[in-house]
This record gives sequence, C-alpha cells and structure tokens, in this order.
Amino acid sequence: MNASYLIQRLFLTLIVLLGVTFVVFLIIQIVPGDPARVILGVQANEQNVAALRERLGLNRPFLVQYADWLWNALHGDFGKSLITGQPVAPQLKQRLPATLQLAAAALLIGMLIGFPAGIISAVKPGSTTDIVTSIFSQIGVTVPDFWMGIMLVLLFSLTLGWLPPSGYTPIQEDFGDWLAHLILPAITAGLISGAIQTRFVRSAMLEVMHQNYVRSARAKGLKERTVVVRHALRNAMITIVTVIGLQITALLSAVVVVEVVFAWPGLGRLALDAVLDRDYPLLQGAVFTVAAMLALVNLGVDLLYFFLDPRIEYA
Amino acid sequence: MRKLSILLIFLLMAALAACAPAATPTQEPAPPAAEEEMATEEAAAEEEMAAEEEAAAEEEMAAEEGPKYGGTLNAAFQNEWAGLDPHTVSSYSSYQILNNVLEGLTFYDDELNLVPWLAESWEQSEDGLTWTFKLREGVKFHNGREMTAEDVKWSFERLIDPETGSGNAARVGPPDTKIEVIDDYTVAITHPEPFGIFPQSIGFDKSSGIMAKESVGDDGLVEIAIGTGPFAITEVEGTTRLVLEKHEDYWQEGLPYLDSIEIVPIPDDTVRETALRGGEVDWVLTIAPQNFDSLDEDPNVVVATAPQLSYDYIGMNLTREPFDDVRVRQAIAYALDRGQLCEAGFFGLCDPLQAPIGQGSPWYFGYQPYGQDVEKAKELLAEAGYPDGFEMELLPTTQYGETVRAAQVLQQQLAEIGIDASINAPEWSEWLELEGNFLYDAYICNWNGLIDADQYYYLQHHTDLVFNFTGYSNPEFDELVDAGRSISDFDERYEIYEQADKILVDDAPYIYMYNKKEIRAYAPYVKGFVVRPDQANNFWTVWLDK
Repeated sequence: MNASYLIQRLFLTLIVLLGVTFVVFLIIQIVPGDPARVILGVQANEQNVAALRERLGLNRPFLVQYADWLWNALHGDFGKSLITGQPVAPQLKQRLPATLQLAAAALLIGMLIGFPAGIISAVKPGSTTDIVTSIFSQIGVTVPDFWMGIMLVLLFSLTLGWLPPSGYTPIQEDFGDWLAHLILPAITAGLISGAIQTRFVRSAMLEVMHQNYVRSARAKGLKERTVVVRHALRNAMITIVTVIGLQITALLSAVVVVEVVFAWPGLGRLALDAVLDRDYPLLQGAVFTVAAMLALVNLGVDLLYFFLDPRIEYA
Repeated sequence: MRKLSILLIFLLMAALAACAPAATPTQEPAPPAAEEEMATEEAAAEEEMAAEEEAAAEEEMAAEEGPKYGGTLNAAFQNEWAGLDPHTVSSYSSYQILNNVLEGLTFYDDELNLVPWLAESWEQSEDGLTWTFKLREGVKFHNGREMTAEDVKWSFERLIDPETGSGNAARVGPPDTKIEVIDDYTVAITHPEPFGIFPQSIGFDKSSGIMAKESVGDDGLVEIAIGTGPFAITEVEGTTRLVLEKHEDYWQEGLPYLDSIEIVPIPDDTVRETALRGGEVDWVLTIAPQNFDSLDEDPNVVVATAPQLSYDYIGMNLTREPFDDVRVRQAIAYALDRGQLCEAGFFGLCDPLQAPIGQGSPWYFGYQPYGQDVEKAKELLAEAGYPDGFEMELLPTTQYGETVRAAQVLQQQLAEIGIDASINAPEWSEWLELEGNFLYDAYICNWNGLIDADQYYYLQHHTDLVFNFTGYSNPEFDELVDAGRSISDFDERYEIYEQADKILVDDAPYIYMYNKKEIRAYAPYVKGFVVRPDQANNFWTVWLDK
C-alpha cells in the first residue's frame, strides 16, 4: 500500500462525487414539479411562476445551471435554498451532526446486537438460541422502520412516559437531554440494523468455522473461546467489516424515515424536503455531503482490509 | 468455493442494502384505543363531568385573577415553513409565523369585524379611486425605528411589483396602483378602477403587512421579516426551530403576555400528539381528525374547534371534454352524497356544502340545488350524450390527506352514475404542475382562510384571473363580481353576490363538498387562545397559567 494507491482512490472518489451530483441534478430537473410553483403554492399563475423562475435563474440551460453550481461548490459556496432563501452550507453544517449521531448510535446498537447474537448462533448452529435469534432477525428485517418508530413512541413516550417522543437537544447543551432524545430513534434504526448484522455475522462466522485451520486449532487443544475469538472471528472480520461498511450506507438513507417520524433535525429529512420542494441547491448540497462521507467510509473499509488480512496486496 | 460464497454474500448484501427502506412515510392512523375506551366510558363520563365542573370553577378563579406575564410557549407546527418573506411565501406555517411578526393597516378581530390596526382611520375619495389612511403614531419596528407612511409605501410597492412575483399582489391592487406619502402619518392609495373593498383586502393576511425595508438583504431576499408585531423573530435554526420573542416596544399596552414562543415542526401526527400529551409541547397546530375523539377525552389536552371559512371542492377542467358541458358537471354535483364524503374525508368533522359559503358566514346565501339525486344525474349525463357514462381521472394530492380519502369515496359515488373514475394522487409539487397547466380532468383541493365574499368568487372564477385554474368564463358573472368589489355597502354587495353565487353554483366549475372544522389542541394551562374560522393563529392574547 503506498501513496499512489491512495491518490488513485481519492481521484476515483472525486469522479464518483461528480457523477452522483450530476445524476441527481439531472433527475430532479427531469421529474415534474417546479420549485417556483412550490414557493407560490396554489397561488401560482403563469406570470408569477415565470417571474420567480427568472429571479431564481431556473430558465437557464441545464448544463449551465450544473456548471454554475459545480464552480461555486468547488469554492465552498453551495448557494442558497430556492425555497427559504437561506444559504445552503450553514444549513448542511447545522443538520449534519444530528444525522451522524443517529447513524453512529444506530450502528453501535446494531453491532451490540449483531455481534453477540451472530457469533453465538454460529457457534451453536441449530440450537434453541440459534433458532430464536433467527426468528427475531427475520422479524427485524421485515418490520417497516416507521411503524417500529411510532410503536416505540406510543410505548415509551405515551404509555410509560419514560422518553420524549421527538425533538433534539444538542449534545453540548445538555448531555442527559441529548441522550434521552436520541434513544428512541437510535433504537428504531438500530434494531433493524442489528437484525441484518446478526444474519451476516452468523453466516460469516459459520463460513469460517468450517475451515481447516479452525479444526486444527481445536485439535491443538485450544479452548473453544480462544478458537472462536482469536481464530474464527479474526478471519471473519473482513466479511463483517464489509457488511458494516454497507450498513453505514444503508443507515444513512434509512435514517431519513426515522428522522421524519421523530422530527429529528438531520440531513436525511432535509434532503427529503428538498426533493419534495424541488429545492435544487439544497438537494445538491445534501447529496454531495452524504456522498462524500460514504466515499470516505468506503475508502476506510478498503484500507482496513490491509490490517485485517496480511495476504492482501495492492499492485 | 470460498470465493464463490464470498461473492454470493456480497451480492446478498448489495441486494439487501438496495432494499433498505427509504420510502416516504405515509401518515399512520393512531392504533384503535376506542375499544378500550368504550368499555370504561360510562364510569369515565361521570368522573369527567365532576372533573369538568371543577376545572370550570378553577378557570373562573384564574380568569378573575387576570392573565399572567412571562413564560415560553412551545408550539409544534406540522410542516416546516418555506421562507419568511411575506411577499413570496404561500406555506401555511410561514403565514402563521408572520401573523405574529407583521401587522396590517386593518385587521379582522375574533368576531371577524374589520377594525383599525396600524391605521387609525380611513376614507374613500369622491370618485372612489383613492383611499386615504391615517396611521397610528409611535408604532415601533422590532429594530427600534418608528413606522411611518414611507414604510407603508415601500411594503405595498414591493408587494405589487411584478418582479417580486407575489401571488398576493392583488390584495393591494394591480401593478399600476399609486401609493403616495402625504405626510409622515398619512398615506393615499389610488387605484385605476374603484376598489371598494380595499380596507378589507389588506386585512386578510399579513402578505400586505408592513415590513421594514431593512429586512431585505443585498441579494434582494428576505431572511427574517422585521415588522411591528407583538413578536420578533430572533432565532432561526434552518427550518427546524424558530424562536419568537416579545417585542418590548409593542404599541398595544400590556401585550403580549408571553416572553417567547418556540416553534418546531413535527410532521408525523402521532408523534406530534404524543408530544402534546406528554408535555413536550404546549400547543399544536393540527391534529389528525381521526384522533379527535381520543384527544378530546384526554384530561391533559384541550381540543377547541371553530367552523372554518373554507371549502373542499372538486375543480373541473372546462377546457377538456366532456367537462366543458355544464350538464356533465351538474350530473356529478347531483351524484354526490356530501355527508358520506365528509365522513370519509374528515371523519365527520365538517359540514356538507353545495355552494362556497357556509352557514357561519354573514355572506351565506342558502342556495342549495344539488341534493343527492342519482336519477337526475343519470338523466343529465344521457342528455349530454353519455348515457353509459365515461372514464375520468381524479387528482387529489397527498399533501392534503383528506382529499385522497374523499377521492376514494367519490370514486364509488361516481360509479353509481356510470362514471369510471381512477385516482392519481401525486405529491404537492407534481400536483401543482398538473393543476397549473390544465393537465387534469378533475382535481380535489381546498381554499382556506376566506373572509369576504370577494375572496370566494373573484380570483378563482373571473375570466383569466390568477387563480382561475378551471378555465371558467362567464361575462355575466364577471360583471357581477367586478361590481361587487368596487362598492363598499354590505347590503348592496350582498344582493350582487347572491346573483353571482347562483350563476356560479349552476355553472358548477367547482363542485363543493364540505367545510372542515378548524381544530386546535393545547395544554389546559394555555389560556387566551382563540380558534378562528379564518385559521389565523394569534398568540398575543395567549398566557400561561403556571
């Protein structure tokens, strides 16, 4: 692994970001719906819509608009929201931490569920534990997250009164309050992530447990615990790390639904509203941010492979 | 073998990741708690009566003590606000924020009487073309500056400027309206044609409110509107949180009572209502109509209603066959069971309508020709050349869930007279595209916050005017509504609009369904809030009893 590889990857990442933003911009311009009409609402008539479109620069050719956006973005200026007139970049900055916190918490909960459940199921395949875990993970994968979220709200907020139903307190303001608001949305997204992770940890482990070197380790007389953790798990980590990388991708889009249900002021909800409002600059900014993060995550996962498997080389 | 299984695992993971739920959540109805409640209803009812009496007695005591100052009202809106520039916004959330931040020259009080507000008095010239307003002195903007006639001129001119592209420009007048500053506290507005209801028109909402020109940034956009209202916008966190703070130099002595209002949008009905019941918020803008009963019975929640001055309707596309034939439109009007539509659309919390104006309004005319008559409907269709009915598409929108629910029942009612209706329910921006460009058969929507007769007839149905999305054109009707808005006497106008109403209802470009009730829910310690038929939310009379 060397500098040239890294540079290659970063360059590829830039191409991906370019491609993603271009495609998103293209799609949202093509689908029916006009931000000028959204702003004016039912009061939109031909003159007003035309006047507003002129003001917002929406009548320019598509490529001109994209190039304009790209040029400004490269200088750090993501423009202004068409709907609210407020600058996009500060909005992104303001809403990003909430999404990151939610995704991280959900991933953590998913891992706390997935790893133990997956490993135990793999170590004792066919046992009662395995079957029960299987059932729960099946349910977790099939249950729609918004239903789960609302059910949790009704149980823990309305009936038990233990947790607030929605909203967000920044972590620096009040840690306890922040945590209280984070728990339900994180569990909603985390339980489902946990169900998925359980299944993959289990199959990755099963795969590895049947390898010759595991049998040799056992034959050597090592404790089962050592066999499982030091040998089997270590080798299953590549698959597992890949799953986690993909889970992060999935979570960053799944949190949109959770953010809407819980009125969690994150980037996901912002992007959804931007789509519904046809707010091109805001959507571009949000997509760019998320795509950039995901590209970094994928890069990180690829780099992790080096540490996990010494056999892997990069030409 | 190992490589193959890893590949399979990758494919599986990719497939699962692609299937990760990212669908737009639809509104979830609250789980049925009614069954449980029915069982204990009787015992609860007795308890409730006793509790109600106690609460009423307590309220009386509190009322005698008088309103308390201070505190923050935590309010939950449904949708995020889309901009805070009164001249370009159309979202209800935006209007309600601006409602407490800006003020107009005139105002409709809680009984819907037009009263002086920033103007102390006004008079019309002999020729009827000029209105002269005398302004109140000593009114301060949030930035400390005093409001003068210059500010009125600036605000009105920006509103009617075609470059601003405001949908509400007509409130003040056409682009060639002249606004003249006579002196610091006197302003004269001259219209090309007599605008008899100008004082009413500028009292409807705050798009014609007086804003300080310092609100406009270098780019010509308004981020925060600076007004003279009881509250000033002090904190804006994107569209997820907004804080209004008491305007210390507000011109009405002793108001407002609250120190501040914190507004957050909570789109999901269940979550918003849970927030209210649990005490996270004190006041919510809307509740899901299907949850009306359960919230009403909750002792920790006050549910208040008022009849709306609005209507839910079916807009017909008169530029398309067969809807250009009045008999077809009338047939549809006769086919409707409006009571059933109301039950389905808004869970019975509405009044059926056959004409735009309902019973609560001083403008009610009582012309009701369309009692349900399926036979007559079929006859009319046959006369028009469609004895076997025809196919059509209904266009409600997911933006207003009640239109989708109503469409489903409407579909069945139309089937009775042989019309095979399909339903297309796009989201708001796509719906606006279709509606605005005559790309529909019949759309379903509503008009809200209407007070004066002019608002029910003029802009929507006059030939070629801004909100005429049906293509309706009737010169006799045009003459009547033009006359109606050029004179000021109520009785004269009533006669004119009665005729216009009959023509419009007979011609049926709009088929009226029902008038929803206006519903608000808030905590019992929130006092002084009035649910208004024009849907305005005025917070300057609100105080917290805690």
